[in-house]
Amino acid sequence: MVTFLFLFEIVASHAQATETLWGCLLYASNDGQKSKVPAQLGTYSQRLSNAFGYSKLHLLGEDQTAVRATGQNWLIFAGNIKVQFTSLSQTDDSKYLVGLQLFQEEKPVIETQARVSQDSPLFIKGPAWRDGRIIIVVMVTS
Amino acid sequence: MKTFEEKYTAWLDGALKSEEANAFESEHALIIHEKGDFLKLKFLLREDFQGKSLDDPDFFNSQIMVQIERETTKPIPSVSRSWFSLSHLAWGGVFALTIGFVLFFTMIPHGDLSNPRSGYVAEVLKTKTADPKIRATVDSQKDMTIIKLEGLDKVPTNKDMNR
Repeated sequence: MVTFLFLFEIVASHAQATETLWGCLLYASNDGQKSKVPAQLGTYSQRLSNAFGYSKLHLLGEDQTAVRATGQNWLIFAGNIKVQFTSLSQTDDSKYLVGLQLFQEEKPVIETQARVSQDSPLFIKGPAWRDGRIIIVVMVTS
Repeated sequence: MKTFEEKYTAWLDGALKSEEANAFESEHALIIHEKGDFLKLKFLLREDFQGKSLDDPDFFNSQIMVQIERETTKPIPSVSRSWFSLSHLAWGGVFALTIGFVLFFTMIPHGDLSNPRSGYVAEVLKTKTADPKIRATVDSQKDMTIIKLEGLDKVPTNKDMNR
């Protein structure tokens, strides 16, 4: 019985869970509107304001997709800003190796590879818009 | 040449010839009376060692057989096993090892222990920009990683970025 539990834990730890790719578009500015960020980023609100030098953050849109075959994972936002996840694999220490590419107006902007843990957002300082800055946030979640 | 013992034994048993017996008796006059005592003893021993008949020989025989059977089927007392026998020690070791493994994998946290207070991990391994005018730098702060892009085209002001 103990041996069975021991082996089950090993198998379970390596089992591929169903991952979801989540992302959102934030607008950082100093206008008078009240900040509104998604619940997933509630603890980052103040720190993002400090990091980007803006006092307010507004959610412009969010998207999520379940992990599909490589090359078919897209997060699509307004303003023709897209994020494509080119690769996703799980490491031995339960982290993820993520490959993603940011597009603006159908043009590739940046391709990056990162090692992330589940529910750890990666922030991308995007283009300027109006009096503020667009921030792209991507995250691997379950 | 017969020894004294040989002659004496033969004389007691009446096995000596008459001339030899007379010569033996004349030589050993003092032991003539011993023959009488010997014959008496011989008679008594024969009488006592004669088999006595039992009143119920079959019952006696059956009791003997029961006794024999009882003693032959008596279980051999097993050797008392000590708590510290080899098999007990081996099983105890296996049990302790199993308990140790279970406790290790359930109680000891494994994985990324770099920041025990939060599970935030976002490490940028590689960046590559498609446009040479765009520069990418990575700002790794505590529990927050930002890829800063410089040189991006500004989004038109009248563009609706709300979705």
